[in-house]
Amino acid sequence: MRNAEHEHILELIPAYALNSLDADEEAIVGQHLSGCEICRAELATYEAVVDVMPLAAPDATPSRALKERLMAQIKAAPLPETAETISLAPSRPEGGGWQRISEAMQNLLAGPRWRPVALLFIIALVVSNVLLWQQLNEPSPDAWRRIRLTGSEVAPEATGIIYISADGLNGTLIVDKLPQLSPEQQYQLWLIQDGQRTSGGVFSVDDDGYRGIQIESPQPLQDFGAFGITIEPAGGSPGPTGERVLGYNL
Amino acid sequence: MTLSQLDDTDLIDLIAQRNETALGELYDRYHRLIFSVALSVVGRQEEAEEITLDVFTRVWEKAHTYRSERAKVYTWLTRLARNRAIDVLRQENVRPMKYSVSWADVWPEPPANSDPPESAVQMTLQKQRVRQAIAILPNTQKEVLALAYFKGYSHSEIAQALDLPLGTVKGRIRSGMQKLRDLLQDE
Repeated sequence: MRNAEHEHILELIPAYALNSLDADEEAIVGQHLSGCEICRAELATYEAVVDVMPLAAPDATPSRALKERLMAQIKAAPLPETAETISLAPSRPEGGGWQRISEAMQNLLAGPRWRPVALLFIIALVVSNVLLWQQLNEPSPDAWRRIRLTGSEVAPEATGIIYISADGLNGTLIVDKLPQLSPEQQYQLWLIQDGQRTSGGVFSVDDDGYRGIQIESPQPLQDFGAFGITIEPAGGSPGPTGERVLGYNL
Repeated sequence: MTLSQLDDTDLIDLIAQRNETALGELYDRYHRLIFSVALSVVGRQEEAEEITLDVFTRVWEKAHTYRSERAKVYTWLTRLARNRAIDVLRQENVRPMKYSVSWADVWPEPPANSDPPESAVQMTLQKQRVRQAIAILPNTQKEVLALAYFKGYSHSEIAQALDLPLGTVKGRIRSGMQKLRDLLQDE
């Protein structure tokens, strides 16, 4: 590396840390950094500056209701890996718990003096657990339907999940590991009913290919039998024109 | 020990174990900062709240991917907030134009809690330190740095927005960043 070129790169590093270089210069600096320890050390000192810049944003406070929305949202989507339907209701008692209770009761019954009291206790426990079991088996009004989208050949590692509220009026799409697109392109969600496709939202992903969006739908989401995500020109298309990256069919 | 006594990294560990109360505690510590960053970028209360919600939802989903050796927790959060907010701006196809983007006054708000934990005190001091450093910069440098940081503008977009030669913008950003680095490293 010639000294003049090295000095030129050093001049660009503050802006590189700030992510404000234009694409051509960003590519040059990125390539140089991969082989230059000095410049990487220099970059680290500027990245430390960028990391504290948000502390100088003018102070502002969101509405009080936002925390309640957050807590409700995470309760609605705790992301169990196997269940296809998730619920705000508590989880079902595990067999291991029953076994421990049974063992404890056997020990209790071993003493003859406590036998009548223990029997009454066991009856009360059985009745209350039967009632609890029935309650847990009833469909919860808060249950959210969970639909897993699978990646196409274009994006085999990509994953997607759609959560639909019990009344079908609210839906959230979360995608991960989608490929990066050019600035002229965006992803578009399609809601499919009898071959008709309606746009459910246009979005971009971050560096990890991750994004969560609120689905826009003119009708309840349970009316749709399939969902797909395609690559479209930035801003979206009236109908799908690009390659499908994620999809789900009933 | 209560959750409020735990440091940020311990809270993230608990969140990765699906502890909702720990997420609530992290929210209490940083929701104002995250919202402030988002609002500075998008400029609208409703969108800034949605971004704040997105950030903490993502923390809930991705806490297990956090690595303390790469960034402090608040840095991780503010990077998420800034990236998400700039993404929102770009989705709206906002064209470069004359923007009035300002940094905060030197003195930050005192913590809301009358008896703040040590971490809140440290955050307040850190805010004060950064704001003092930025306050020293010439307005011309503050302006280009704010457009780059809060709007995600490139050199050429800033030049267009402020009707300045490209070389002038490059020089102001470089000088401003060098000055900030010197000021923050000296302390």
